[in-house]
Amino acid sequence: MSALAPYVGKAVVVITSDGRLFTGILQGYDQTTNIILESAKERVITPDAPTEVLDLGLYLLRGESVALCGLVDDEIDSQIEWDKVRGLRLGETKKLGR
Amino acid sequence: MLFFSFFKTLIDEQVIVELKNDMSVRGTLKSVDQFLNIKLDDVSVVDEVKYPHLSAVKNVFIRGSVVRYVHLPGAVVDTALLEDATRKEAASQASKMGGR
Repeated sequence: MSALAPYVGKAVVVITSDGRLFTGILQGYDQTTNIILESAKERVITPDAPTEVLDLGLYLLRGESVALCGLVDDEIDSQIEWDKVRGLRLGETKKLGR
Repeated sequence: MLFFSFFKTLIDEQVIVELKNDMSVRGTLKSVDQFLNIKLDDVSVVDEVKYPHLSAVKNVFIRGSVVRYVHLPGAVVDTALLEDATRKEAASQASKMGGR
Protein backbone atom coordinates (compact mmCIF):
# COMPACT_ATOMS: atom_id res chain seq x y z
CA MET A 1 0.00 0.00 0.00
CA SER A 2 1.57 3.23 -1.18
CA ALA A 3 0.92 5.77 1.58
CA LEU A 4 2.32 9.08 2.72
CA ALA A 5 2.70 7.85 6.30
CA PRO A 6 6.52 7.87 6.31
CA TYR A 7 6.48 11.54 5.24
CA VAL A 8 4.33 12.82 8.12
CA GLY A 9 6.13 15.34 10.32
CA LYS A 10 8.83 15.80 7.69
CA ALA A 11 9.60 18.57 5.22
CA VAL A 12 8.03 17.87 1.84
CA VAL A 13 7.73 19.49 -1.57
CA VAL A 14 4.30 19.35 -3.19
CA ILE A 15 3.77 20.01 -6.89
CA THR A 16 0.18 20.86 -7.78
CA SER A 17 -1.77 20.17 -10.97
CA ASP A 18 -1.65 23.86 -11.90
CA GLY A 19 2.14 23.83 -11.83
CA ARG A 20 2.85 25.44 -8.46
CA LEU A 21 5.43 24.32 -5.93
CA PHE A 22 4.81 24.29 -2.19
CA THR A 23 7.08 23.30 0.68
CA GLY A 24 6.11 22.66 4.27
CA ILE A 25 5.86 20.06 7.02
CA LEU A 26 3.37 17.31 6.19
CA GLN A 27 0.86 17.23 9.02
CA GLY A 28 -1.81 15.01 7.51
CA TYR A 29 -3.19 13.29 4.43
CA ASP A 30 -6.01 10.95 3.45
CA GLN A 31 -7.03 8.40 0.80
CA THR A 32 -7.82 11.08 -1.76
CA THR A 33 -4.39 12.67 -1.18
CA ASN A 34 -5.79 15.78 0.52
CA ILE A 35 -2.70 17.23 2.23
CA ILE A 36 -2.17 19.45 5.25
CA LEU A 37 1.04 21.46 5.29
CA GLU A 38 2.36 23.44 8.23
CA SER A 39 4.61 26.46 7.63
CA ALA A 40 3.71 26.23 3.96
CA LYS A 41 5.64 28.34 1.49
CA GLU A 42 5.12 28.67 -2.23
CA ARG A 43 8.34 28.81 -4.26
CA VAL A 44 7.93 30.53 -7.58
CA ILE A 45 10.74 29.34 -9.86
CA THR A 46 11.08 31.15 -13.18
CA PRO A 47 13.67 31.07 -15.98
CA ASP A 48 14.68 34.71 -15.65
CA ALA A 49 14.01 36.07 -12.18
CA PRO A 50 15.11 35.23 -8.62
CA THR A 51 12.98 32.64 -6.89
CA GLU A 52 10.08 34.24 -5.02
CA VAL A 53 8.94 32.78 -1.72
CA LEU A 54 5.43 33.37 -0.38
CA ASP A 55 4.70 32.49 3.25
CA LEU A 56 1.34 30.81 3.62
CA GLY A 57 1.13 29.30 7.12
CA LEU A 58 -1.17 26.33 7.64
CA TYR A 59 -2.46 25.02 4.31
CA LEU A 60 -4.91 22.37 3.11
CA LEU A 61 -4.37 21.17 -0.45
CA ARG A 62 -7.22 19.28 -2.08
CA GLY A 63 -6.21 15.84 -3.34
CA GLU A 64 -7.48 16.55 -6.86
CA SER A 65 -4.89 19.27 -7.22
CA VAL A 66 -1.93 17.29 -5.83
CA ALA A 67 0.40 15.88 -8.50
CA LEU A 68 3.47 14.90 -6.56
CA CYS A 69 4.74 14.91 -2.97
CA GLY A 70 8.47 14.59 -2.45
CA LEU A 71 10.43 14.03 0.74
CA VAL A 72 13.01 16.77 1.27
CA ASP A 73 16.55 15.72 2.07
CA ASP A 74 17.57 18.46 4.53
CA GLU A 75 21.29 18.08 3.86
CA ILE A 76 20.91 18.68 0.15
CA ASP A 77 18.27 21.35 0.65
CA SER A 78 20.53 23.42 2.93
CA GLN A 79 23.19 23.45 0.20
CA ILE A 80 20.91 24.87 -2.46
CA GLU A 81 20.71 28.62 -2.89
CA TRP A 82 17.08 28.70 -3.87
CA ASP A 83 16.97 32.35 -4.89
CA LYS A 84 19.64 31.62 -7.53
CA VAL A 85 17.73 28.63 -8.94
CA ARG A 86 16.22 29.15 -12.41
CA GLY A 87 13.90 26.77 -14.18
CA LEU A 88 10.93 26.44 -16.48
CA ARG A 89 7.49 27.24 -15.16
CA LEU A 90 5.89 23.89 -14.39
CA GLY A 91 3.09 22.86 -16.71
CA GLU A 92 -0.46 21.96 -15.80
CA THR A 93 -1.61 18.37 -15.72
CA LYS A 94 -4.86 19.09 -17.51
CA LYS A 95 -4.83 20.73 -20.91
CA LEU A 96 -7.58 23.31 -21.33
CA GLY A 97 -10.89 22.03 -22.61
CA ARG A 98 -10.53 18.46 -21.32
CA MET B 1 -6.65 -4.88 -10.12
CA LEU B 2 -4.59 -6.30 -12.97
CA PHE B 3 -2.29 -3.33 -13.33
CA PHE B 4 -1.97 -3.04 -9.55
CA SER B 5 -0.68 -6.63 -9.52
CA PHE B 6 1.47 -5.96 -12.58
CA PHE B 7 3.18 -3.00 -10.93
CA LYS B 8 3.76 -5.00 -7.76
CA THR B 9 5.90 -7.39 -9.81
CA LEU B 10 8.02 -4.40 -10.89
CA ILE B 11 8.92 -3.26 -7.38
CA ASP B 12 12.65 -2.52 -7.04
CA GLU B 13 13.02 -1.97 -10.79
CA GLN B 14 14.15 1.34 -12.25
CA VAL B 15 11.37 3.12 -14.11
CA ILE B 16 10.69 6.55 -15.56
CA VAL B 17 7.33 8.09 -14.74
CA GLU B 18 6.18 10.70 -17.24
CA LEU B 19 3.63 13.03 -15.71
CA LYS B 20 0.84 14.89 -17.44
CA ASN B 21 2.63 18.19 -16.77
CA ASP B 22 5.37 16.86 -19.10
CA MET B 23 7.93 16.35 -16.34
CA SER B 24 9.61 12.91 -16.17
CA VAL B 25 10.99 11.37 -13.00
CA ARG B 26 13.42 8.42 -12.95
CA GLY B 27 13.61 6.27 -9.84
CA THR B 28 13.29 2.86 -8.25
CA LEU B 29 9.70 1.68 -7.91
CA LYS B 30 9.13 1.07 -4.23
CA SER B 31 5.39 0.96 -3.82
CA VAL B 32 2.10 1.05 -5.69
CA ASP B 33 -1.52 1.05 -4.55
CA GLN B 34 -5.02 0.44 -5.90
CA PHE B 35 -5.18 3.95 -7.39
CA LEU B 36 -1.84 3.27 -9.11
CA ASN B 37 -0.27 5.97 -6.94
CA ILE B 38 3.48 5.37 -7.23
CA LYS B 39 6.33 5.79 -4.78
CA LEU B 40 9.83 6.10 -6.18
CA ASP B 41 13.11 6.11 -4.25
CA ASP B 42 16.38 7.71 -5.27
CA VAL B 43 14.80 9.90 -7.89
CA SER B 44 16.32 12.08 -10.52
CA VAL B 45 14.31 14.36 -12.75
CA VAL B 46 14.97 13.61 -16.42
CA ASP B 47 15.70 17.20 -17.53
CA GLU B 48 17.12 18.63 -14.31
CA VAL B 49 18.20 21.87 -15.94
CA LYS B 50 14.63 22.63 -16.98
CA TYR B 51 13.13 21.26 -13.76
CA PRO B 52 15.36 21.99 -10.75
CA HIS B 53 12.28 21.99 -8.53
CA LEU B 54 13.02 18.57 -7.01
CA SER B 55 16.77 19.02 -6.48
CA ALA B 56 16.48 18.50 -2.72
CA VAL B 57 14.21 15.47 -3.01
CA LYS B 58 15.23 11.79 -3.06
CA ASN B 59 11.92 10.00 -2.57
CA VAL B 60 8.60 10.89 -4.13
CA PHE B 61 4.96 9.94 -4.01
CA ILE B 62 3.23 10.45 -7.37
CA ARG B 63 -0.56 10.57 -7.56
CA GLY B 64 -1.85 7.98 -10.02
CA SER B 65 -4.18 10.48 -11.68
CA VAL B 66 -1.31 12.61 -13.01
CA VAL B 67 0.68 9.79 -14.59
CA ARG B 68 0.79 9.79 -18.38
CA TYR B 69 3.30 6.95 -18.91
CA VAL B 70 5.45 4.59 -16.90
CA HIS B 71 8.50 3.67 -18.98
CA LEU B 72 9.60 0.14 -18.05
CA PRO B 73 12.67 -1.99 -18.70
CA GLY B 74 11.42 -4.37 -21.41
CA ALA B 75 13.56 -7.23 -20.25
CA VAL B 76 11.79 -7.41 -16.89
CA VAL B 77 8.28 -7.90 -18.22
CA ASP B 78 7.03 -11.41 -18.90
CA THR B 79 4.78 -10.52 -21.82
CA ALA B 80 3.35 -14.03 -22.13
CA LEU B 81 2.25 -13.96 -18.51
CA LEU B 82 0.82 -10.47 -18.95
CA GLU B 83 -1.09 -11.45 -22.10
CA ASP B 84 -2.47 -14.47 -20.30
CA ALA B 85 -3.55 -12.44 -17.27
CA THR B 86 -5.19 -9.89 -19.57
CA ARG B 87 -7.19 -12.56 -21.36
CA LYS B 88 -8.35 -14.00 -18.05
CA GLU B 89 -9.32 -10.53 -16.84
CA ALA B 90 -11.19 -9.79 -20.07
CA ALA B 91 -13.03 -13.08 -19.77
CA SER B 92 -14.05 -12.44 -16.19
CA GLN B 93 -15.19 -8.90 -17.11
CA ALA B 94 -17.27 -10.30 -19.98
CA SER B 95 -18.97 -12.80 -17.71
CA LYS B 96 -19.58 -10.11 -15.07
CA MET B 97 -21.37 -8.02 -17.70
CA GLY B 98 -23.75 -10.93 -18.26
CA GLY B 99 -22.15 -12.15 -21.46
CA ARG B 100 -22.85 -8.95 -23.41
